[in-house]
Amino acid sequence: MGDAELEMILADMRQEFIESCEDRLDEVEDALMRGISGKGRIADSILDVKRNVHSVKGLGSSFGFNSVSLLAHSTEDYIETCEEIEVDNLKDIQFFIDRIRSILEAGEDPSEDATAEIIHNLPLIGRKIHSPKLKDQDIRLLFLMPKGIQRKIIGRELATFGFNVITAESSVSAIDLAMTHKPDIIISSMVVGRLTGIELARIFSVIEATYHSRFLLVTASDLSADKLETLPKNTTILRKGMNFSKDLYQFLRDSNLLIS
Amino acid sequence: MSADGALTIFIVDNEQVAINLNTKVIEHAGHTVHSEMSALMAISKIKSMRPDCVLSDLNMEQINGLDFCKELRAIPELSKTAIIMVSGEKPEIWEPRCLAAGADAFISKPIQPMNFAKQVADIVQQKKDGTLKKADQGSQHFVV
Repeated sequence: MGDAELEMILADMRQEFIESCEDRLDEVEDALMRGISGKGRIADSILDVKRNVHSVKGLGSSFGFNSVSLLAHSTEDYIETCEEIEVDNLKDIQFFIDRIRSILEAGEDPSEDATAEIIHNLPLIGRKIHSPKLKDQDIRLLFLMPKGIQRKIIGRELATFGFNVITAESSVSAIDLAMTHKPDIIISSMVVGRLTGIELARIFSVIEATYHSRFLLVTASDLSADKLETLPKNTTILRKGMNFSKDLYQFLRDSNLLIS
Repeated sequence: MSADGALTIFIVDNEQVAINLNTKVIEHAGHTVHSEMSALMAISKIKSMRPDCVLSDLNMEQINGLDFCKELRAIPELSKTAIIMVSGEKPEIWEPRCLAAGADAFISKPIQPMNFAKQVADIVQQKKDGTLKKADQGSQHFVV
């Protein structure tokens, strides 16, 4: 049996690796939440975090996810350099975990340059991540995405900007909520139950309560030209996964919504 | 070791995915693998099986890798068995400790699947030939 066959065996095991890592990250998040909410001792949380992050680090590169091992290593380094872990540090660690999670969700290792950029933007002790803030703190944002990890990560991302977020889980409830709240921005995933994100974009563009709203469609893949043509002109595409933050930031900056 | 060079290798790791990965990689190279997630359970099995090599993690729940290694080294029947610690811990700190505890080599995680089986086989062969350096004769740290 040659290397090609071994590569096939490893490819077959990638899903097992991803699921195992996601279980580990779930445990990390639970531990962080216990520490942040004060329901548990921070020292206990950190022990759980270290144990699970160490496991993730020890497997990533073996399955072709160098970035995952590097980020897990950076998480360990961050913890090690903390003299005393406080709640703010746990929030920083959550930032590391979200980056690892996004890579696993995307299912492929980012390029070396992209990985370097992710690592460059990680929190450091004494250097907090300061998300740019909105000029207007009363921007209503309707966020439509099925329950799951991606929603959790994107929801956290939106909260850091200071949006007034209204969350919906189905297209029907989104339309209903939009009629009441008249959101300034609507962010929707591509798959939202019976209607697609594209169909929703078209519906919202003709409803009086939302025809002025900016519609942001979150998608994992590039849309074909014919699908792009069917989108209303106020629609912006945000790429899922690790590009999401970059695309959202770009949109907010281009729309002049951020404090410069 | 069998006549065709196939080894019997015992893997101890409390991470099932790591066991599965190492097992597939080593079996792919033609060796026989046994494994156990519990180091305590592994000791008696290893003693009766007398494998050519034990691959052990460092961070385990019931007994840490160093103590596990010392336990194995205290069993005379296992004097010819190579013990290789496979860990994501910093080698500059943990490798000397592992060697002092009786390990023959330290391999850093994450392992590189394409080279791992050969690296393990080489260490086992060097131990059998008596050419493997002792702990005080230099580093046995391998990043494969």
